[in-house]
Amino acid sequence: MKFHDTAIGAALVVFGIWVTITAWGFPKLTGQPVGPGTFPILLGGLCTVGGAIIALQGLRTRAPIAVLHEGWRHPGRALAALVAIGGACVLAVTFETVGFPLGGSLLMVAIYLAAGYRNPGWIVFSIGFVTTVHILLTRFLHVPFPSGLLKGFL
Amino acid sequence: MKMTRQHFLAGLAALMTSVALPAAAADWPDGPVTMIVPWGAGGGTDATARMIGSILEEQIGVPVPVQNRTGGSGVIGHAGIADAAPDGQTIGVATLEIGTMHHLGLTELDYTGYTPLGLYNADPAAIFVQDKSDYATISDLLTALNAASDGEMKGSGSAQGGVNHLALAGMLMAAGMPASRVTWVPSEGAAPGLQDLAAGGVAVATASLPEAAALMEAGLIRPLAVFSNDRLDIAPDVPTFTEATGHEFALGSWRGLVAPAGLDPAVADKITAALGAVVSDPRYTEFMAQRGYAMQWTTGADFEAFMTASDDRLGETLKAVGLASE
Amino acid sequence: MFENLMAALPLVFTWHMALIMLACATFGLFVGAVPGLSATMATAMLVPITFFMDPVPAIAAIVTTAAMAIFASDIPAALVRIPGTAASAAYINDLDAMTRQGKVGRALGISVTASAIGGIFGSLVLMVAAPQLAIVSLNFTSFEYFWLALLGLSAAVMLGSGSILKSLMALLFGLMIASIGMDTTAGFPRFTFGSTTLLGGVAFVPALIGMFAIPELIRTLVNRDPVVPVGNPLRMFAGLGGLLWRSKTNLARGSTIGTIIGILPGAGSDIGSWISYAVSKRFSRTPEKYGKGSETGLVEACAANNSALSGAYVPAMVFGIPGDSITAIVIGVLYVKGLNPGPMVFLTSGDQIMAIFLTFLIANIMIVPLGLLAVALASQVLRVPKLALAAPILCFCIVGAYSIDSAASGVVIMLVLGLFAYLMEENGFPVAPAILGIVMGLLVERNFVTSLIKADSSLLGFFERPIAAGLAVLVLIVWITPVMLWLRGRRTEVRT
Repeated sequence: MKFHDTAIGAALVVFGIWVTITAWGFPKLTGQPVGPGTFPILLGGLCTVGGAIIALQGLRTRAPIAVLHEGWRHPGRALAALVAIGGACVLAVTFETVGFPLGGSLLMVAIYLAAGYRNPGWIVFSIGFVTTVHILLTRFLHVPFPSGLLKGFL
Repeated sequence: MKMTRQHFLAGLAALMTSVALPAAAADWPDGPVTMIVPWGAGGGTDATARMIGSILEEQIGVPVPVQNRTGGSGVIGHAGIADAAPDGQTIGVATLEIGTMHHLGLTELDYTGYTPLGLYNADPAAIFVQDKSDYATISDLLTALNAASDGEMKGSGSAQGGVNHLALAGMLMAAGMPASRVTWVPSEGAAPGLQDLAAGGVAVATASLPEAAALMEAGLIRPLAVFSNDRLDIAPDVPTFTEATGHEFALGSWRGLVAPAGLDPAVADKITAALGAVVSDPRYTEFMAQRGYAMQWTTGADFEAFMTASDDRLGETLKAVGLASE
Repeated sequence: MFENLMAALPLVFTWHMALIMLACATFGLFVGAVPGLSATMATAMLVPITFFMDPVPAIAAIVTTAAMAIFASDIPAALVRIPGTAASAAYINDLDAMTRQGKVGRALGISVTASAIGGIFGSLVLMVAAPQLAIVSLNFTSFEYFWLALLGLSAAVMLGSGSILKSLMALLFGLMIASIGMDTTAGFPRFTFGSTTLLGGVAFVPALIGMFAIPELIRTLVNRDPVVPVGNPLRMFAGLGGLLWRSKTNLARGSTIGTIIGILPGAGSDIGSWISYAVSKRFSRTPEKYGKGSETGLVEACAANNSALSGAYVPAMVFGIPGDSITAIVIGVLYVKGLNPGPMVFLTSGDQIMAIFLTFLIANIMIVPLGLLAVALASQVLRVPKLALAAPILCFCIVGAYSIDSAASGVVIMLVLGLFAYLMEENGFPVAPAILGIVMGLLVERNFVTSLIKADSSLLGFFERPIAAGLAVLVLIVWITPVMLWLRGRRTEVRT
């Protein structure tokens, strides 16, 4: 999604001011004029100035406020992207309870379906892939991946 | 997978037999015993923990994985130990910072969050100057400090409120000067602070002797005094601060093994016994001596009393420096 | 030195050592080639095993694993645009562009050989002059590190192909992300919104994976660009000799800059490869190609990356001061083995130290044959259409983001920053400066704040020490040119 430069610049100005104000409230080091706020104040200030320049430069261009990439207008493609990102979010939240073997397989199958791969072979591949990765990581690299609902089986 | 299933079964078994406590002690260790280290891989605390972990593994016949939970000036790892289930399957290394972080207002947690197992190391801090510096003795340095204005000299060696900062501030106060006489330049641990001293970025630095060994050997920095009650075996030529100046002051970092509070005393005894065997293992003692770490083994109630005393003293120093949150 | 070398040879050339190094090389290649798993992770996992080894094999195991893992992380960078380290983010656009031009084999061939040459150069420097060079690193205080870090950041801003202002804003964004969590000077929690997971800051690996892989993933799913022809990934070495000979200046310069920056414990390979990439572009006759598949840029930055890794062992061995997390682990192991870092160890155990340096050399030579093998296996994924790869790539991203701290919060950070990076790239803000900002934010801030404390808040202190002043002048030069051009551009614009 492409936004108009003036809109981006304005957002950066607001963000920069917010950072500066928040950082202003941080305590100083004992007996020092500097502290945890010094650097963020500097960053916030630079962000505000830079945002203002971008906004001003943007005023000279005549672009619409926001343009979606052409691909997003295809419902199928937009759905695939939403499934991938949304599904990953859901998996992240439920990672410890559902576990990687089940959650990961479901996510992969969902992405394949949404991207137009209807062959059942992809389901087999998804489950096989996730299981292999899971076993490799937990058995050989000792990464404590949660097995979640499939605890008893693996 | 085997690990988690055993964990689960262990939990279930513990639930069912929770009435018969002695049985739990007989069952320890039940699966891997995780050792949490609140500091980064490669540091001194991590090295000692990994050494203890690898020998403990042989002793008790189950894996002892070491987990570095770093961040938040040690708060995250220290809290990680305290928050674990008190079943003996999670232990960890607590360091001096457990007595400072709650005074600094970083966490509510203090030493009462733990079942003490054993204190295995305490290294007094020492004060260093550049080798080419004009100060030949600690008295020379104190004279110069007395003549200097507040903030004229800079010191480094740890984060703000870290053990080496408190050692310097405590030394100044013991010698009758305000803690603000030397401006503290926070560093990420002793090594960068000492390097800054060698590079001429600061005038003095505080750190334990083992931490400074390489730079001392290179002839770039030298110790003036050590903040302990007696001279150290590894550096018999370095005077204690008290004998050189007559001012009473001692402070140093320490490392101890702890378990979450509420651990069944019978299990605690069993773990302490296993660790006792580890710290008398020649491989361990050789390693500690090699790195110059002072060794000791103070267990149970004595360790608890040590932590209480350490906590009180650190609280006082932090208040005097103006860092305590109360 | 020569006697030490002779004494070291029988310590290194044994079957036992060959087996250990081969096994560790395979392990390192595997961990490095899986997107998201890091070299630091691989080394940390080896530490308990090394307790039961002799000193030379123990260090050889770690060094071989690390060298292989860091090289191997260029493979997913080229194939699916997920960099393994912040250093490889400097040249990922070139790797990616070459893959799109059907030259994936050549891109990885350059990466393999330039990495090996840079690494060998760095190892030779270690063998010949470690104690002498270590003294150099002791001239660096927070003032010098501040300017050096600023130089690295400025290089990242100037390198972008788009607007310098937008690059700068991306950098600021990265620096702000880095300031989330407890600050390093006082331990004060900043911008955490009361979250305890954010206290430790935004983990870097999830950020790195998210900001490069997620935008690419979204574009794959949404844009459905026409399929580009994939060249033969195994044509790695055809015409490579000629290229390397033509870019011998780049090789030499990259290796030298990398080694020098690597020797400084406060800098390291991240800054090294960015600065040398910028230097390469500055002196190139074809600067317009940089970021679009420049072979000379790739040569120089890859050489710098690996030579900096060897350089980092100079202060580690001589003063026990670690330059990065891997050398920190190596220092720990050295102590365990009784080879206490310090100038004395070069005299008392000169043969063992020399043997360790020899293994550095061998590890870097091994990159070439083993790297070829790994590329041959890994590049099979290019046969699969990109759209069908989306799901497994996302899976690897989740795995990598989770594994670093064993926490699902890493996955959330990866997704949030990934979506943000997608929006940034759509609007002409480059991602690379933001990544460098995240990696170096705390370093820059710490050196800035401690320098202010030392100088009693006077900015003059930043210019008083000679090296600091020299670096400051360099930073100013880097900034003056584009600002002048911009001002001139504005003036002519106003006139017309």
